[in-house]
Amino acid sequence: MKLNRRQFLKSQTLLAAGAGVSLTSKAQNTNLLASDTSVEWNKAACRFCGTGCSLMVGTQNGEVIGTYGDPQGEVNRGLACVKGYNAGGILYGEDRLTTPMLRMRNGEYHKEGEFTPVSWDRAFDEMACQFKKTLAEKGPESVGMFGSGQWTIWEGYAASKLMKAGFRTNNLDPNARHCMASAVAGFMRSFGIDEPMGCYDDFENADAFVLWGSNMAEMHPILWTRITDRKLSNPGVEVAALSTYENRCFDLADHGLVFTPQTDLAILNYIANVIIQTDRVDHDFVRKHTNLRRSITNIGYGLRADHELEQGTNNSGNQGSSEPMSFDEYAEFVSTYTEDYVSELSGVPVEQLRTLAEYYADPDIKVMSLWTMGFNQHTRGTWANNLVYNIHLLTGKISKPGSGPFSLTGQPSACGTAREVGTFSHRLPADMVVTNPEHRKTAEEIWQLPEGTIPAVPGFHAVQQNRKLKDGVLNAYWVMCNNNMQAGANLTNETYPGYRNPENFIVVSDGYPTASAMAADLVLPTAMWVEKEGAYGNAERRTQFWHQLADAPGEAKSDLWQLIEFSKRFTTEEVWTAEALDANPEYKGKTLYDVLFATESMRQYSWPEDSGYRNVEAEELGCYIQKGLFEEYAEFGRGHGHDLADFDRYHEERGLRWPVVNGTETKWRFREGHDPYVEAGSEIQFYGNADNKANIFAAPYEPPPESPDEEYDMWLCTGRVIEHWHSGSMTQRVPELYRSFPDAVVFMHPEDAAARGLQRGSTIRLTSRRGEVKSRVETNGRNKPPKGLVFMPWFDASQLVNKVTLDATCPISRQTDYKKCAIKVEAV
Amino acid sequence: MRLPEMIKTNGLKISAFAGVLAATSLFAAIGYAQSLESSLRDTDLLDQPAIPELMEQEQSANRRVRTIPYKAPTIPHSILGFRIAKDFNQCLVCHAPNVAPMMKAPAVAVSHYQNRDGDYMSNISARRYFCTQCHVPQAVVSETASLQ
Repeated sequence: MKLNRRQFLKSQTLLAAGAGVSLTSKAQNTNLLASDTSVEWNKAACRFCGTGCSLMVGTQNGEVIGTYGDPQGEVNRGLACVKGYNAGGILYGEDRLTTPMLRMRNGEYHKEGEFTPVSWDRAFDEMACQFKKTLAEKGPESVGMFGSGQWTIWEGYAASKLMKAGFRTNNLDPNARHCMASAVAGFMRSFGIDEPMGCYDDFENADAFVLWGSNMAEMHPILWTRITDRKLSNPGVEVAALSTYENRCFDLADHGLVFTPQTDLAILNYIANVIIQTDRVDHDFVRKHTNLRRSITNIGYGLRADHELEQGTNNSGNQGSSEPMSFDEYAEFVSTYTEDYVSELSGVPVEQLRTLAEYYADPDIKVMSLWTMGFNQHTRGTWANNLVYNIHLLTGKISKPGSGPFSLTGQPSACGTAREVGTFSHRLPADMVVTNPEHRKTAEEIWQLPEGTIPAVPGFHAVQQNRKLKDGVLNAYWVMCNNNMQAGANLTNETYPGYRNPENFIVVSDGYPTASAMAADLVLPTAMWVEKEGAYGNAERRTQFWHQLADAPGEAKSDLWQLIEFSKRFTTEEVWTAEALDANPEYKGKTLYDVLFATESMRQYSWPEDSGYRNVEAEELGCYIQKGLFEEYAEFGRGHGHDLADFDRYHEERGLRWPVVNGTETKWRFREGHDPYVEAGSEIQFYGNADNKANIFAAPYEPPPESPDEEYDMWLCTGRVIEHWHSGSMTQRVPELYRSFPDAVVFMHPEDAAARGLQRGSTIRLTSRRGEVKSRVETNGRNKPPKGLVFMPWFDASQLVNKVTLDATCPISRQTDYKKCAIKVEAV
Repeated sequence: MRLPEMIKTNGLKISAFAGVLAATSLFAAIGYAQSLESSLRDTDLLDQPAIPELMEQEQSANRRVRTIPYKAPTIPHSILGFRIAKDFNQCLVCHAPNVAPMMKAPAVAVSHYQNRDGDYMSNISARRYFCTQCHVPQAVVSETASLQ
């Protein structure tokens, strides 16, 4: 009998269970000591969430045999969550990809062909042929790439160079668009510079913690240990958890506030109103350090322009614009957010609203606000970020130890790679943008490119890429280090059609046959995590490095290797304009590899042969390419508020928080005495903006695009569970993690279940206007939704909940709202 | 007798043997994937595979053998409906060191007394309070497969 793969995995876990050992752990407990039982231990940043724990990684003969929390890691001090303890196992799933696979028929590439193992040469030949054909026929606007906040820093940097300079397209966006785009837009609007001003040291100094929709107990478990430690060890420290359903954070919280989806906007404005009405504004701070601005409103939902919900909205492209207003006008604006109105709208009792407001209004309480996807995956996500900054700015509770707004990150290098390197369709490194001629000039100088190489128009962002693939506008497409077939909203109508569009050639680089790989035309086997030298940047601006510690299986190669090897197949004549080459003849006859990755600045560092580590890329390229890339990249930020330390130092440290000036990291930005960029005597200086002031924004509550009605009578909220990372393509293949949460379930209120004739374990169908997914009911689980809402995690490749979700975005940040759409639930 | 049954029957006594057997012959025979078959789904993306039953959490009398000494052990029993909140931790009812011997349960490890600075406390450190951040139950894998 042939096993299907799922049965095989189960038989494998059964074996492991019966044997009492995990097959992914090569260490053995026996009564015989083998001749060599020594294990090599090295540090590495964890592969999973944005917390950025340091792990100790144990290897024997090039294989990872185990991991544990690094006692010297400042973030986690010896702790690891269940995923961290099992991180090594992600490398050893039985269906790991080890050779390129091309869809072929009769020995040729065919869109409808069978996946066939091919050599890297054959794979790159086909890929180059397809990209060249598209470039020649339709130009650089028709090639694109979807990257990752899980890329290492130099991989993101190399991808940015290859796409923006090499192929002259800005059609590069990371999956961090789904994760952090609203946070970025919020920072840029309020402060003119990205990323949190505070740091994790705030956890040990705060009096109150407010979770705005963030389920840290599961999604940032080690940061949750720091909050738990602070609260339980210090009587009087309080925690308020806001969410659209009860989750594990409510187990610690003094106050659990369950609110109706989208009404967080109103609660935030209510708190501002309380601060003003009770005369507890820090007027001196507001006068000296802030401006007040009124946002334009009714900005649409980022859907396709012909969608009915977009009609009659101000969605013409300037949704982020605003105009100055006075403090009195701002006070009048928030005055309509009374406790009665907001309580009615949000469903939160008045008493709870008052308690919450007091954390902010009371000048003696040091309060830390925390949020992740609840705010960011929100059709008004940019506003939500701005509105939480408002209440910290009104009270001056910002960038002080223990007091400040803290935007958490989902991915391990959403900050380090996606944001700081600028792999978004409108960005360049160090917060620069493609639309600014000075910024393009700076990038072209550092990259030593002919003037005018980088295109001035932003490329397609994540959601737009899927739409343009479907429409046949984007035709040659490389998906790297993400699984957007499973992650993108409205799968059946907006993701799948583009991948299978006969006009398109889709390449997916991954370690495993993900849903995205299955829908691709060419699949490239990829070295993962410690199978390559790497660097990540976490949510507190901490940059962390690791060495290559393990060997990749078969022919799997890192994303960095793939990007650089592919660049060798293009000459400048094939991708740049004749005018540019005539004006700069020294670039003629060169490959993209020559001009982007084999420059003197890139090749100036040699790999230290006596390091004791392997480095596949350095061995093959004959130089320490990671160091060359990093040092060139660091030029963008040094002296401009984004200073990074020297490359070598990061291999010695458990990470450093930028800006690193004169060898010293910065804990609290903008604050005199902590941040070297702040001028003496200014107390606080929001130097991201030219006038050194932060912006307070008036932005209203506006309803979500879709709310429950008679037919689709429930809210659907999607998210994660602690045991699995994102689409589960890694953690579902680790037996212990698989068995800890094997299949997705739908968390539901028992009365909602009973009203539909359902009980725990019943098979159900979730249906929206866009599609359906089948699952099982869980009424007794860790998440306890209120009546009228269900929660379903998206990790399960066999229960694709994104067939149901709506591809609406925040019109400013272009980030999808995965937290609310209207569905119905029926028995199957 | 099929291999899974054999291992089940003999329990932990052949653990080292089974581990080696599994890691060598089974892996060697199957090798790395040469097709794009996924271990996680085997149907077209627009269809949906059958939904497996809710898996129950394993209830075993055996203590877990740690797969590697420094790793948080999994939980050998069901914790469905267990309460771990700021005012009550059901796990400690059996695993707190003062009651564990009486309950015939393993006591929480000594590492759990260390605070963030590495100093030993007189009670379990608050940072370790929520057990399920590291320790997880294991579902019973009901679907046995033929290995012939």
